[in-house]
Amino acid sequence: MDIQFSKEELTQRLISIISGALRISQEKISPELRIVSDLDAESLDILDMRFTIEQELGLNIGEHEFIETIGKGMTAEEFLDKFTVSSLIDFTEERLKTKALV
Amino acid sequence: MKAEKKYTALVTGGTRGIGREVCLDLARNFTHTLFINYVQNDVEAELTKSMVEESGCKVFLLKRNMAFPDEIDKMFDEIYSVTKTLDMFVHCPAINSFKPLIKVKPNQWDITMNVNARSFLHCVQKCLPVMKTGQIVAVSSLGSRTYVPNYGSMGPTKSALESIVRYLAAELAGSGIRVNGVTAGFVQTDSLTKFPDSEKMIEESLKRTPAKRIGNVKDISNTVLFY
Repeated sequence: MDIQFSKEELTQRLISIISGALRISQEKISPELRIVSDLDAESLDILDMRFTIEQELGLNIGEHEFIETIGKGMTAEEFLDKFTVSSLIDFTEERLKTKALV
Repeated sequence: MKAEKKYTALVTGGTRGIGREVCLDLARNFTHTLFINYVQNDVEAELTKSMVEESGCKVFLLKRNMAFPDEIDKMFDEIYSVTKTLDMFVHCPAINSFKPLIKVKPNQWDITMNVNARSFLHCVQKCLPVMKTGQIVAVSSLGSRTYVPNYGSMGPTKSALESIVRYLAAELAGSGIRVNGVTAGFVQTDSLTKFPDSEKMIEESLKRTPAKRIGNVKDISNTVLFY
């Protein structure tokens, strides 16, 4: 699957995925919101999002990759603070770029 | 009795815990070719592959997500590009989060039901065109028919899984394909340690278990592969 997204398109796509997983209307999801602390996502919800991102965008994301990449060098508490919608968009954008280079 | 290693098998969710032990036993005793499905952990998958290969069994790792029907279809395309027969299918994948049923959200219901139960039916449907005679086993768990605290996202999916087993067993009876489920109690795996209050639950279980020990993956694998 080769998909090229603008940042805006990718943002919209991820907001749609988060909305689908958490049953929250897309209007209530904005980049600065923290996925766990503000949107109340649980581990199974994050798994659901990861599976959907992999499926829809043709990526292969490791079991602990969110925490290892977005939360690199952080405590669990710090990670929860940094794990925002925006950080997930940036992570996915980077992974799509890496994939394009392979 | 050790059977001749003449079979081809598929194990879904086969790279950790009970699934890995089933793969190892299959390779030691029954199969010359083994397809092992997994989705999350490449390191564990490669480790399982190398362990299984020590028995001289040919191994194919299939990284496909049981949550999605088209991924299952692709997995079987990969299998059937290698073989035209399947003799055994063992279904082990399970995802959950430890919480009461009353707190389970719609997406959590969907994803756990799809991975734990629906994918079994889909895989069986994909196996049948090439499985003339054979064995199909689904690995279930205690919470399918007994209340287990904080098992709300798993228990109903295992009940569904067992119901699918019963229907398939009846529908396929006489066809030469045997369908069974194995319902395990507390089994010493990594998953068990993730249970809230796991130590207390194990302690309670031991009080009610004459052998004074909980199950291990070998116990379950032996039951899955009864011959």
